[in-house]
Amino acid sequence: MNKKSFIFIVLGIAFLVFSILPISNYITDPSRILHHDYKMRYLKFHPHKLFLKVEYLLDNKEKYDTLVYGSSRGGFIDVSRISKGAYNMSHGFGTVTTYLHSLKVLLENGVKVENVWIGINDFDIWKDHTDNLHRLINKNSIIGNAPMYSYWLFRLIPESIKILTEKRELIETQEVTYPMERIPRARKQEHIVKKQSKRQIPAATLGYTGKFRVKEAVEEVAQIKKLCEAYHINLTVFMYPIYYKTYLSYDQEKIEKFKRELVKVTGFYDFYDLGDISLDQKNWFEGSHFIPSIGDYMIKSIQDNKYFVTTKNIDKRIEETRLLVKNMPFLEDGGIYTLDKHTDAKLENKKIIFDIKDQKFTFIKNEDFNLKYKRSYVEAVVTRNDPLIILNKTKSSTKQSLLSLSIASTQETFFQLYYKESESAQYSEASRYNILLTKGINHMNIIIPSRYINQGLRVDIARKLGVYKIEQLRLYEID
Amino acid sequence: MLFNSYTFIFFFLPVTFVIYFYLNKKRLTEASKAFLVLSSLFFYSWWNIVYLPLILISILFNYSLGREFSKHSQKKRNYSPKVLLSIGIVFNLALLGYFKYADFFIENFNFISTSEVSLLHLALPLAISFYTFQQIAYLVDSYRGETHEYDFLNYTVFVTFFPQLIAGPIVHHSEMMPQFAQLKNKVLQYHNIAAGIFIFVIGLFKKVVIADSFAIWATQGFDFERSLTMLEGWMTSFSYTFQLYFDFSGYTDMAIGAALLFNIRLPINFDSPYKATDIQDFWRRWHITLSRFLKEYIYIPLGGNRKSEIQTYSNLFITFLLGGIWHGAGWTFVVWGALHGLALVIHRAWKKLGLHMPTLLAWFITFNFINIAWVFFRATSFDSAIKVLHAMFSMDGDLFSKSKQFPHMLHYTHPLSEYVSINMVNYMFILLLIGFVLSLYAKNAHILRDRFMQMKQIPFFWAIAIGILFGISLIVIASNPSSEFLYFNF
Repeated sequence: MNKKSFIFIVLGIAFLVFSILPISNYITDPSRILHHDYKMRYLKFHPHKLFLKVEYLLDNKEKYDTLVYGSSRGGFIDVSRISKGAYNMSHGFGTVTTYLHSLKVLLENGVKVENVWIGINDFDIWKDHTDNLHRLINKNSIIGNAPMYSYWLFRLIPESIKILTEKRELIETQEVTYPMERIPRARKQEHIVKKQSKRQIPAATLGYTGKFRVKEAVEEVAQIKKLCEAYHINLTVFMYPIYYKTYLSYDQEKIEKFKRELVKVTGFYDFYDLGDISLDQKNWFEGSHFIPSIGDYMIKSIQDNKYFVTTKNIDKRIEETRLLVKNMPFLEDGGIYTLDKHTDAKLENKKIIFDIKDQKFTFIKNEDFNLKYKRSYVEAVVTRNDPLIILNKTKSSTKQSLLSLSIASTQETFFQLYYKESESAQYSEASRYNILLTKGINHMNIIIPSRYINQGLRVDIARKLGVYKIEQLRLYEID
Repeated sequence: MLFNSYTFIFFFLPVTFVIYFYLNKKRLTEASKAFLVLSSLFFYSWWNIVYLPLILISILFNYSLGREFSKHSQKKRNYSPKVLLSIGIVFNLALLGYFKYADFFIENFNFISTSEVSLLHLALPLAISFYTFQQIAYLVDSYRGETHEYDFLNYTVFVTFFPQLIAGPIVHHSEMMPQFAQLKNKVLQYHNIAAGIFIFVIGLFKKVVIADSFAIWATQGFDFERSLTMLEGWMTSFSYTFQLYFDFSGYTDMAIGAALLFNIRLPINFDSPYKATDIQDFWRRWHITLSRFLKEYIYIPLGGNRKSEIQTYSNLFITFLLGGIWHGAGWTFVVWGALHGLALVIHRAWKKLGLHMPTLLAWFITFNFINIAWVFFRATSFDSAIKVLHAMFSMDGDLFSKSKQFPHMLHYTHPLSEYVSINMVNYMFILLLIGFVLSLYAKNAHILRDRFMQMKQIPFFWAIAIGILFGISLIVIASNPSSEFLYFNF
């Protein structure tokens, strides 16, 4: 064969081999996007609900009068209590970005709606979906659809391989055509949850990084409002309730800022606080999703115009939420969990049992770092990989203790706590609590069962070499 | 833009290729060259356009200085050439030093003086180490009167030509400029295109299939160096040794292949380095263009072997110490460079004594030395390197411990684990065996390329095999679309 033929044969064979990828992706299509198929799904694989719900509504342009947008939390809301013609548009990790994008597509393509409800999450102000929008449909442009098709065709999709190797079959589903089908099942689960009074539910931090997009999220709500006005649609905005540990682990100053900015754009129903819903474990499947009766309560409250926040009462509302934080006891569930710095105020008059800045408290320190005592802080100069201290002399007489931490770091790394259940046990990777330190000041409070303190808590300052400014590393006895 | 990305393979490369030869066909040779420069700058800016002004300033400065030398040789100027050269070298090294070494110096200054100078946290501009070296060589040769009157466009093509811009090979103006000037290189040549595709596909396969497979164990091993058993320690170091070789030589093959499409022959950079039977032999086979630069522009100007034996040892050591520092701003690189410098000194002394060693033993020592030295090269800190080495040589653990945690964790980080159940330890044994066989027994890419170019008729089987490798590589890219090349960090 000559070299010209070689070129064409190589490229031809490569093309044939490579085409296995898009062909198998197209045939299997676990997300059902490529087949625009909202009536079938594979067992164990989630179809792309947002995409398929948009497709379904485009095929049924006048079937519904109300769209209830939300994240997966919204999946537990019985929207039939709002209106018989209400459709639940909830989708996993839905944010105002995805609501805006899909609502635009629907309205621009002739879908008739009278009411739009949008449920806002705390993660709307840090989860940025703007880079993923190319995966969603853009009905108005062939070129606009190209990135979506290339994304779903030219990826190695694990589910596609499993479908082929395990010969999975498609089954009929109603989750798009009748999203309410899950509500009866969820209500049954709710009864089970209510009987489990002493569950340990950890916080669901859902990709929380401490980087925020408050302005962008508010701007997206403003665009939704503008869109609704242009199409003469009634807009109802509400914020979901949140489980208390999840609430406490976030920077509430940012959430407050978001609420203050949001209210300038639109009034909204605010269920996001440390009230009864948040504190009662029975209301939560886990740290993120509430049970359906909470959804019922929210709808009823909105219909009765309760919890409505406007520019006139926002200050009062914020004061109320702050008061709830201030008055909340440190709840005990047997594990370690993180609170944001807003809980500092509750530490007044609490007994200090350890303070790294006070040299009267002794501890074991290894050779991997040096501590330099400055006037208002302690500098940890980490020269090797395992800078650790063991609080061997620190004892707590209360059931729980609180570690108040403020560290300035120049890099992203982990602050770690190693704990033991008994004195003879070894510190191990399995008994470790990780805290992400980001660039800048990291200020937080950590609830620790005192039995861990009394067995000698090990504190690993950082996982990377460098200089860390420890402004606070103090343990309190708490009730 | 990565060579191993769909954007490069399906869009950038074919579009640049077609337009370049179209312009040449229309006899718009200057336009085609300008187009190549613009394409290369676009390729460079794909990561971050912020770095574009820096490379442009560097090109402009070095070209202007080079022109001054040539004017000087024509007695049009009265500047001292030595002063001009010093200004040029200081400028280039200052640029490199500022972006690459500033924080390293500040950290060490703070450590020694207990002061608190804030770090600059500058991002390392892509390719700065490579284009700085390339242009220092140009300046030195201009000073020596070894360069010709190059025009600005030619010079810019020489520096920015996209196949070699990011991570070498570190090309010399004397081997590149004439090629861009030759008329026959402006015409489509099927034998070069065929050879280019052939070598590009080999490089792509080396990177995305072989190197990235080793990367999984190497990355996890160095991240969890505290909990490695002896066996895992060795597997970690071998994995990195093979990852680095297949990654960097794969990149170089792709660069050579992409350049051949444009009828440009880049110098070879690897010649089966793990077959080396002594450390000098290794440096004749590993990153050959860097060794050439270090020899011509550091070792020989220092005096090379022209002075006393002690001075020669010292020159060797300094050259490789600087070579280590060139790779990165950190004490681990200093240690790595020093180890290689020391090894070269010992090797030279051994040769002087006229001692001999059985070839197999010589290979064994050389390979293991290289493998151990790579631990410093890869580790994020000196302490981390010591931990991996401690695991490798510690006799207090079980050699074949059924350490469940590490393979378990690896299992979940391996892309294949999403599709099939795999025993990671067995998998790694097989992979390492393949690594040894390929790097010790297989013909390397440049031998295959030369053989390919000499053939008038290509066996059908070759086309089938290369086509399949290409197709497989393209599918594998889909599973790991953002896998960068290791040498992008240097």
